[in-house]
Amino acid sequence: MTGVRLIVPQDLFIYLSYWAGIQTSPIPVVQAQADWLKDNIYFAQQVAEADDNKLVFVRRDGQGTLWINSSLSNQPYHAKRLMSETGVMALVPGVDFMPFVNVTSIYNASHLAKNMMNPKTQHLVLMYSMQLNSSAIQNALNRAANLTQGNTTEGMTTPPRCMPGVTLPMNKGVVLVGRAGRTIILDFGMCSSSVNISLDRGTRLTMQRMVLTGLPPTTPDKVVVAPVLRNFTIRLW
Amino acid sequence: MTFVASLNTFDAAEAAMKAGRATCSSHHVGLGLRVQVGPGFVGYSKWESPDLRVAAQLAMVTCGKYEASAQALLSSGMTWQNGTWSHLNSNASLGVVQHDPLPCAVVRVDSAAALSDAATVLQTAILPSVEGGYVVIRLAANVSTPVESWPHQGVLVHQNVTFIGDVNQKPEIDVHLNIDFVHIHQTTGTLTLADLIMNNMPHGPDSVYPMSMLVGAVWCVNFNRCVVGMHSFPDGLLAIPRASHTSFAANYMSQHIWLLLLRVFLPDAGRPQIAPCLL
Repeated sequence: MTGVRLIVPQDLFIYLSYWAGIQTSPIPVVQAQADWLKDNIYFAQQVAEADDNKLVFVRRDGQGTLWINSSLSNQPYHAKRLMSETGVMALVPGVDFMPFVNVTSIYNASHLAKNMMNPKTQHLVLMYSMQLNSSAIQNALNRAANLTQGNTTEGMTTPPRCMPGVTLPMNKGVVLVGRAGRTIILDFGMCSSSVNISLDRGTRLTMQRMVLTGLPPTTPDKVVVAPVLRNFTIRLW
Repeated sequence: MTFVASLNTFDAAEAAMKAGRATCSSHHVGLGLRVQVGPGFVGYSKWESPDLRVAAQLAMVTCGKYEASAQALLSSGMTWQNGTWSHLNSNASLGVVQHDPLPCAVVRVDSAAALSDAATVLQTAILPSVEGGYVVIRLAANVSTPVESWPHQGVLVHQNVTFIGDVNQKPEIDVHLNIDFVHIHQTTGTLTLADLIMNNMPHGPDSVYPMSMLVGAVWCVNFNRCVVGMHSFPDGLLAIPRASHTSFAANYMSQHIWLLLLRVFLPDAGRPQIAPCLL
């Protein structure tokens, strides 16, 4: 692109302006915070000027696109801007400028279970509603075990939807977030005594921006609850 | 077979010809024609030409002219100013390249509806005909690409395609958030945008979320060449009809069929001016 101006939604403009500002900071420690841009999105980025309405690049190269003397703007021009927001500043509630690379998008329950166990992923964004039942967890466990042993997952049978004793191990903090602008439902499949998230000491599971349903209506064996309350308790303890 | 459209007015080109500032010659090379263009020539073709043969000849000259221009545009530093190609660091206009022109097509779009109207013609006739060559779409006005009038699956690009505006009065392309605006072949396609304003570019697909929210090529993860807000497509997905390259006669006939179709569908002033030339 040469001499091209891109009209972008307001939140995207603010987001990119923020990170461009970090990247061009004269203070090395501050500048280093934007290294994820260089490592993951752009090989090179030279900002010529920036103000409240435009962000001009002398050169920007990465992801298959070469920008030369091109700019981003938040000002609608001839045509009405059809999209006012992208949701880029709402990836994780309370963190306006979350780097993309710190967020993992989740597309199905097995993918969710796998990433809840992955020590490298922390912020998981649920793209769609899904059911995290024992089948999905067992699948993730099987795949992880087979890959560890160098085997493939071919020929593996699908475990039943509800199966007792299936535990999803978690040894690090995880933030589950529903995709911004959509109603995301996380369904536990009503699998009583089957979905157990074992948290190591000091880890925390945070859920934000989603609806929980299908939680098994029983209590842990060791917890004494009045019978009348049993159907009002959930297995997220 | 190559289609060409005028980038300059009939009068200007005619005046240049009459003043002797423009010369051209052509001769057969194999099944096609080789075009040589004299320096300073203002290439053009005009749809309303009373003499189709003359129009075709001049269109061939235009091909030679803008093959060089489109090629130059793909390199950095070239810009379109005051109706000619110039280098950013000098006032000299681009000289005409004296070699065999590659297949090329130049389409002028100068009304809001013209690009959408021309898109189908681009997709079904022009783009398949210039494989390995260049296509330049010159926008002289703001254009809109409403989804309903844009080709299904978008315009599939498997060659070098340039959308160019004007450095002084940047025309705007309103993409209408159409996810199927342009698809670029991942190994053979290259799209260049120059001197334009792009508005209402769509998000990328969910598969690359959250980077898909970046209106800036994040859709093109793992692909070789992509441009902002547009898809890249791999081999095997191209299902558009190809023009016959088997014989001169076939090219000649299909060219004239398209002449008729273009005259039917694009008869009005303000529509894209498209005329053929033979190579």
